[in-house]
This record gives sequence, structure tokens and C-alpha cells, in this order.
Amino acid sequence: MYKKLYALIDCSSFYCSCERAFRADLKGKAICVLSNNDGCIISLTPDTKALGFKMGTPYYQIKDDLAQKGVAVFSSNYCLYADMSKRIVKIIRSFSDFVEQYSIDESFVQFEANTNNIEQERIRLHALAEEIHFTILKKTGVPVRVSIAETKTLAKVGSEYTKCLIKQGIVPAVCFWEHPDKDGYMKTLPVNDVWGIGRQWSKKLEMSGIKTAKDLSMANPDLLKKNYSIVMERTARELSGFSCILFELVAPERKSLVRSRMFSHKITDAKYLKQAISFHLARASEKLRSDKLMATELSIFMSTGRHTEITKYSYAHQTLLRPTNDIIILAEVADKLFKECYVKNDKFGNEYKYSKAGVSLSGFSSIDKQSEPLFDIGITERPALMKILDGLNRKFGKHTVVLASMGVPKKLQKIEAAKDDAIEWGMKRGLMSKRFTTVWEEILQVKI
Amino acid sequence: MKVSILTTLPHSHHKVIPIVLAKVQAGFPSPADDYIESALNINDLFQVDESSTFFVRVEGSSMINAGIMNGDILCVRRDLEPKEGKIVIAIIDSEFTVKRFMKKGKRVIFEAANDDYPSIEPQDGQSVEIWGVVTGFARTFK
Repeated sequence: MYKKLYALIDCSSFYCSCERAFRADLKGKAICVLSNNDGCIISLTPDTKALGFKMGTPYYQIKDDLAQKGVAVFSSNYCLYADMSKRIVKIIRSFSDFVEQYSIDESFVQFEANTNNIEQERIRLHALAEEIHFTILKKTGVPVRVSIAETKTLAKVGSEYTKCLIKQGIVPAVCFWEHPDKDGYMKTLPVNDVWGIGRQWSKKLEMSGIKTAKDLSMANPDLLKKNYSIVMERTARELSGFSCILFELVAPERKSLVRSRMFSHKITDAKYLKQAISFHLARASEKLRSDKLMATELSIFMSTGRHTEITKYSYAHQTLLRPTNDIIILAEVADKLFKECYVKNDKFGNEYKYSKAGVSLSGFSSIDKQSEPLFDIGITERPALMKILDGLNRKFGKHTVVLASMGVPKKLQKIEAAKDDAIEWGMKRGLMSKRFTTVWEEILQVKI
Repeated sequence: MKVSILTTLPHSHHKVIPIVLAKVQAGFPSPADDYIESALNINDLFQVDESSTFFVRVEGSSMINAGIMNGDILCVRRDLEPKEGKIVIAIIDSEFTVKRFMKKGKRVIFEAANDDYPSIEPQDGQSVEIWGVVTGFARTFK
């Protein structure tokens, strides 16, 4: 008999590990990575946690404390993290054809186990989990946790379990299926730490006596469905070893595409707001073209911060006459939407200080599935021009050719190089490391 | 950098109606069809592995007799076993360096390829890690 098992490959403190991989002096040192605009902590190593820092804490509150305790702080460097993630997924694919990339730092892999000889299979799978761990570590320098179990939710539990192994100095790779410690560990794992259970729900569960992962696995699924939701029922069944969460080999089709960012400082001027929207629209449409999609809905939005005296949120939306991914057509619509929704000041004449703007595209269809329009609406797609545009920007660097509405290319290139305040609406990320793996000018330099 | 406006685009064009074209078979098949091989790829020459190859720029001249000059780009594989005689990137006391990996009995030596630079012979208690093995280097003419 054969049984399907799921491995979860989870990169511990992934962003920190990527930073550490290119720094000789950060081995065993506390690291944290900040969100866009150096807002708050989004990744931290266990030793940073041990110093009392937490995920989500705003940077300005702990800036001095971090410096004093010698924690290495980085702005997020998504170019680097995305490339390292791609490398890791590539290695995982060498172990199995059935890989589901769940997020930038987590993948599920399907394996089969022979249930006729469980002990022997457990030894084989444990060795496989270790091999995956060591191969990824050796090739990329990023440590991962590997856990194999009969459902995705149990693989997540097993992945939590490997954290105990790390503390004992054991390789964080485990075959959690039929593991002797499985029951005991599930009795100690708080229900709040189970995959998919929010804090609200865990409170309610605890009140009704379901305190641990083990309790939840033994609860009556029908009652859970009645009292909570179908998700809760599914989670309980998964914990009891019955697989209910589908394995998605192909990422589900994109439903919408949002591009926005906080500005490094507040903007009142329409000109710069418009440039920022143009910039995000260009990024979104480029992504659309690389995914071979067309959009039929376009929205733009802009907002002041929530903590300022005078707040404003503006939004405008338009359904397009026909699906498109042509930046020129989209920019024309965005321009019209901007005129509709931009408000300079309130009725007392106080200027709105905008801190964020962005675009959203949706209503997607594949390029290959387009039908000829019934009526000529006088809009012509320029796929060849878009191809040249994307090609030039790929070959000669981002923002080599841009729409004039975006502003000056040279300044735009500076925001990509993370030079602070190079542009009025740029992003604050003064602590960004180099893009070691994607830009020749920024590769690792070694004094010899 | 100079910015120039390439062209302004008109708002609409007349629509061109495509004609359906059928493919017509013509000519003889190429006599070389059986001899087609994939073209040379420099990645093969440098043993590039998409997951474990990283590029590193050299600053300094301690490896000049091995042909590696200031500013050269090294192609580095993190997953290869460091064999004796290979040029490696090592981390010695929290600093990167590039040297030739040699063994002397049970000890390892990181040998410079320039008489003006000393070789490094790590002592007990010094931390040593081999970050990767250099598989080649590149220099472009500007």
C-alpha cells in the first residue's frame, strides 16, 4: 500500500538568512529586516527574538535599542530575497515533480510512502528530509526546516517541532509521520500555534476546552463546522491525519494585481502624486504582460496617513472598453481617473498631505483567449511596442524607457538603487544591502 | 543621462484586418538537420549551476600569479567540494578572502599567488569556513 505524504520546506527567518549569506561578519549574530519604508520588523533571527524584539514592532520605537544591543538591521531587499527563493525552489524541484510554492519562503512537496514497512520508510524519509536540508544549505547558504507528514497541517506542526530540534543542536529535518514524539508534542502545542487558527478563534476554542493541537484533532468535526466554520472542521480533520487541503501544483490564477507604496515623506503636489501612480501603473502592467494577462478593471487610490490631523482617502475606478495590458491605454485611463479623484484640500483650505498612492488591476483574462471586438472602438493595442519596451528595460536596466508621465528615468533608476530621497515620492530604505545576485554593479566584493 | 522623447503616439489608428495565411511547403529539407547540436553556452564552460553559482568581484592583487587581477569577476560554486589546489573563497575570522586551498598534513593553508602577500595558515581557535570554489573568472574589455 502506498500513502501520499506532504513535506513542508520552510526557510527560518528567510530574509535574515539571505542577508547573512553574503556577509562574513554576521555568522551567529542577531539580525532583523524591516518592512517597506523601514516601517517595522518583518523578519528576525531567534537570537534577536531572545533579546526581546518582536515581529511587527515599529522601527522608530526600538531603533536605539537595536543599535545598543548590536542587532544588524536591514531594509527589505526583495530583489535578493526573490532570487534566493527561486534558487531554493529549483533545488526542491530536483527532489520531486510535485512542488507547490506556497509563499516566498515555504514550499510543499508531495512524496509517496510504502505503508507495508513503516519503520523502514520512516528511516528513508528522515534521510530524505535531511538531504533536502543539507543540499539547500550547501548550495545557497540558507538553512531550512523540513518536515514530512500525512497532511499539510501536520507538516506545519512537524515544522514547529523541528524548532525544538534546533535548540538541541539537531538538524531541523523530521519525518513526523508515525513519529514517536508526535502525540506528545501535539499535546503541548497551543491551539493558537496551529496553522490557520487565528487568535480570535483560539480564544473561543480554549473556552470550550480545546487547548492544544491534540485536543483539536480529537474534537468532533461536525460540531466544529456548526460552531465555527468549515475551515475549522478541515483543520481538525487534517490534524487527525486525514488530508483535506488540496495540493496546488499550479498557482491559482491571479485575481487582482495591486502596486502601491508609502512615500518616504508626505506629498501635497499633484504632479508628484501623478508620477507615483504612473510609476506603479507601469510596474503593474509590466507584470501583467509577463504573466500574459489582460485586464478589464483599473482603479487608482491615494491616501493620507491615518495618524495625521486631516485624513483623506480617494479612489476612482473604471471598467475598460476591452481587455488590455498596453501601458499607454492604461495611462490615459489613469490620467482621467486621477482628475476625478484627486482633491488638493479640504473645505477649510487645509492641504491634504498624501502618504501613499497606488493602482489596482483586475478582471483578468489570458492573452491567448481574446476575441476580436464586435465594434471598432478606435483603440489599438500595441503588443509589438510593449514587447520592445519591456525588452529594453530588461536589457538596459529598469526605467530605461518610460512614459513621460512617470518623471525622469535617471531619478527613477536611483530609487531602484535605494538611494534615499532621490525622488520626491520614493521609498525610505537607507539600510538596504546590495542586490548581490541580480545586478552586476552590486555583486559581492571581496578584498584579496 | 540624456532623456529624449522618442515619438508621440496618436490616439488611434485605423484597424488593420489580418488576412488568413496558409503555410505553403516548399524547398528541400536541410541536409544538416541530422547534425544540429545546441550552440556553445558560456555557462557550461564556467560550470554554472542556477542554484549555487554566485558572482564575486575581486579587489586586490594577492592572486595575480593565478591570473586573477583587481576588478575581475569570479564565478563561484558554493556546493563544490574544495579539493587541494583549487582556488576558493574562504571566510577567515569573519572576513572574506580568495586564496588557493592547500593541505599540509592535517593543517590547511590558504596560499596567496603573489610573493608580496603572505599565505594564511589558520591556527587553532581561528574560525575558518570555505564559502565556495572558484570555477573561473571573467574580465571584459571596456
